[in-house]
Amino acid sequence: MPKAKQNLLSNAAVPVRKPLPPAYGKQIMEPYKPKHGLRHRILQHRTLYLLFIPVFAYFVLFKYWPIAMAWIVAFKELQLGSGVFDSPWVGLQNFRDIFGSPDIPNVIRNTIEISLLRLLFGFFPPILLAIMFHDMVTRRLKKWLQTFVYIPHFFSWVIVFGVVFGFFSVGAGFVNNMLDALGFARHEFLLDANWFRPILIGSALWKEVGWSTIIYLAALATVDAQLYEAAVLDGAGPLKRIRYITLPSIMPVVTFVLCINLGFLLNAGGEQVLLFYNDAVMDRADIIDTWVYREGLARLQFSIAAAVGLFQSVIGLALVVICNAFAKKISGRGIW
Amino acid sequence: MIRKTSSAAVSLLLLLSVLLAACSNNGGNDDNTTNQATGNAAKGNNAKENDANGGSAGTDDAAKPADLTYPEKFPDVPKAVDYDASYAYDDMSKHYNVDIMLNGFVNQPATQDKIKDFYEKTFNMTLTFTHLVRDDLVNKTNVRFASGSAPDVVAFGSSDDRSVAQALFKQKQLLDATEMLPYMPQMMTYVTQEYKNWATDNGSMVGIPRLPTFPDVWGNFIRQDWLKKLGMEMPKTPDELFAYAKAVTTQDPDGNGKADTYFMGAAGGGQGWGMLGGLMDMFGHRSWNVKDGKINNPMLDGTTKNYLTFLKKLNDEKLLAPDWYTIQWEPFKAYTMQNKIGMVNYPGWNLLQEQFSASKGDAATIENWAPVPPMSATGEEGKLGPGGAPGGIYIFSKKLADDPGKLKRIAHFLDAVQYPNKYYWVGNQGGGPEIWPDYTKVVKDEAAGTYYYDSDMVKLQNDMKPELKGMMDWQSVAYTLIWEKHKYSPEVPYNEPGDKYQDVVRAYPRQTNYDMLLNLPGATVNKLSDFTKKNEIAFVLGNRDLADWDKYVEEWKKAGGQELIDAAAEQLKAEKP
Repeated sequence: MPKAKQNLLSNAAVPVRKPLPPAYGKQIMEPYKPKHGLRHRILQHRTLYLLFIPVFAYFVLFKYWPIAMAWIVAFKELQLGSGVFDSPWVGLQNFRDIFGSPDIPNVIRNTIEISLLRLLFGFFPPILLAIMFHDMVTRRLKKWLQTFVYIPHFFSWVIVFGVVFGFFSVGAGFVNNMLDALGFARHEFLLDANWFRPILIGSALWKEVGWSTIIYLAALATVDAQLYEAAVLDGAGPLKRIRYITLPSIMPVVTFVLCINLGFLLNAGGEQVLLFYNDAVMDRADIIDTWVYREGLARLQFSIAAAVGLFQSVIGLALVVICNAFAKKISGRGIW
Repeated sequence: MIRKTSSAAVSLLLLLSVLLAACSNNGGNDDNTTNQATGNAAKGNNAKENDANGGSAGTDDAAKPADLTYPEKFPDVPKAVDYDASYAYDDMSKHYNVDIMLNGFVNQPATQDKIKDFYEKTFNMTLTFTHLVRDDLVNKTNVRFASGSAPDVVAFGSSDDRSVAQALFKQKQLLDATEMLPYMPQMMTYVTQEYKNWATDNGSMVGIPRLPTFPDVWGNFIRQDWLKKLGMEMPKTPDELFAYAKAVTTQDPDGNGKADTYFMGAAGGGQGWGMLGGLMDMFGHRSWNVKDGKINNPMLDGTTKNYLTFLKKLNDEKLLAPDWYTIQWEPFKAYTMQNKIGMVNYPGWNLLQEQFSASKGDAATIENWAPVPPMSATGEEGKLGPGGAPGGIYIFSKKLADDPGKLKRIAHFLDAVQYPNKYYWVGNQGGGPEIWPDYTKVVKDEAAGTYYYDSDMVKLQNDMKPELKGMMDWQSVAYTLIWEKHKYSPEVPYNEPGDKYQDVVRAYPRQTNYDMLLNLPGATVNKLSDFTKKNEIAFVLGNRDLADWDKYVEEWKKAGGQELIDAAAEQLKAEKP
């Protein structure tokens, strides 16, 4: 038991800490050096390693092997009869074909614009909603509202398009009926290229905003409640508590989500766009995923599809790395 | 110790599961899409799949591919082949698993598929039956072939899918159809020289052309009662048609005091002109043709421009139904059947039958519709678009070459279900007499030599529960209305006028079908289709000025049009424009 000394403020006995050894700080900074070799450790923890084998096999077989195959195919002209390995190498020809296509500049521009719009209008609402849920006092109302906003996540995009059509169609659409009732002319929203993106982003927000709060709510659950109590005692109002406690507490998660979302900049939600677009809005709607769907899958050009996938992956990875470095520089926090 | 052993056992089991999952092929039985319906896979217990190369044939006296004789035209009255003699080559003691995919129109699984059961029992095979909407069928077919789990047969339901067959054939995935045809004597009665040429690419027959279900019976149908009410004649020119369109929309022909009647709609779900496409024939040939010895396309001679100008006028004047471009076919029917639409492009019999059903059996509604004779903008004789195109194409996996027994069984099966062979009636109209013996029979019209269903449709509809509707998709294997007529009786008053209208439309003069002689590069055709669709709707909506037309034609040429002009000129031996 360390020897106690008198605390002048509280009169309570506090333990006296032993002085640290001179090299203590240096020791913990040194990298961990295991005493035994890998083989010894595998043998020592063989049961755990054995349990890990299926997981390892799953990732190798279903994730990394397909990635490796796709990368190879990106540089080959895949012939179905020959398979991946016997198909001829074509070097960068697939990439030349992609970037030589007259559609591609517009397709890439659409992809980036739609992704940025998704980021702009889809990134902050879940944070705000999570904070609102976190600060909600009535538990029952909170649960009810959470359930209400989570439900759309479980609808398929086909259903969501059905809902959108029901809202925006000219004949019996809710929005047009409202416009009509208010004395305005009905409008062909679904044929208007200017309305395509607002409808796309709005419906995606409706579908996913609730579900996206989960990660922030999980982060908020770890915030020490005493911080809020102390802030209240210090006279901090709700906005100040959000500014000085809530937001800093979830900032690592926000950074993580932002970096990951940036990694998907060239994946602008192909399934949704595929269902929502039509010939009239094609110029504003066609994105890389839908272009690949038409060129690659429907026209049997799997090498082109693989090359585009590789391009998306490389750009995505670069963006994540840049975002992470930027976040670390600005806030001192990053994913790694 | 026990815990460690259990952990090891669990790990090994998990590993085994992962490896098995990685090694198994999907066989078309998993990875279901929304619109996919897959029949049961190999049953296994009594399924004795023949060894590869072990397919022994019975008496193999089939013709050699080189000896096949292709008729010049369809038979006037087809006759069933001698069944027993024709298929003696097939050793029916052998059992096979057969995987078939097609483009259905219900595309949902039947909980108890009696037609499939019948085929399996009759042909001693286990069927895997996958029915999908057209786009999904193309994609799924490509994926199945690419992943090494190719189906044995794919029955594409559109002549546009020939390019898919060609692409797969080039990738060495398909059997030359001439390997199958020697075993298909019924099929050989209608695979004409023209059909054969259509399916031949670089000297190989990439598939077998299918008979169309609705052979050239799609026509423009107009509301007779509205014409009378509006005091108008049957339109003969675009101007007269426009006057009718305007009157329909502004003069309240249904007399309900509301502005809720419209001329027409595309009903193509936002992908193309749908039923409005039939209006193009007023302005000229809608496809490749030869004019004054030179190759011509509707893009080049003003046909497309005039057609789009007409559509723009309709749209600007708000004469088209709400959501006319984005609405799907089925929802649009609600407008038509609720008497809101003045003109449709439809097969006559189906239109009358659907109108009769929608009116709950009011026979007077049958007289509402009548076909419009071909109209013309030039004062020349009006013609409908080219006819005579196949209804699609059957393709066969190259794997069948390794299993001659299975190849023959499939040939036997497909041939046996062609009109009017022994099992043709089994899979059509939800099931023939073999499936519903109490309600359905097939009657021969002795005078014409043709056949028709004589079914108690009310009772059949009662037994055809929603969960059995998927059975209807067997109809997509070989159903054709070229020779089949309907039963005429007072209970089904739409049959006689419906058949008559179909004959009337089929008899209208048509443009020459040069497409049957052409084999244009599929990838360019598809790319150009995307290009034209987005530009054409832009012209109609006013997002692009029709004054830009010449510039647009140049863009079209650069986007692949010129390549197609060159190819078409060479193949039709015509001069370039």
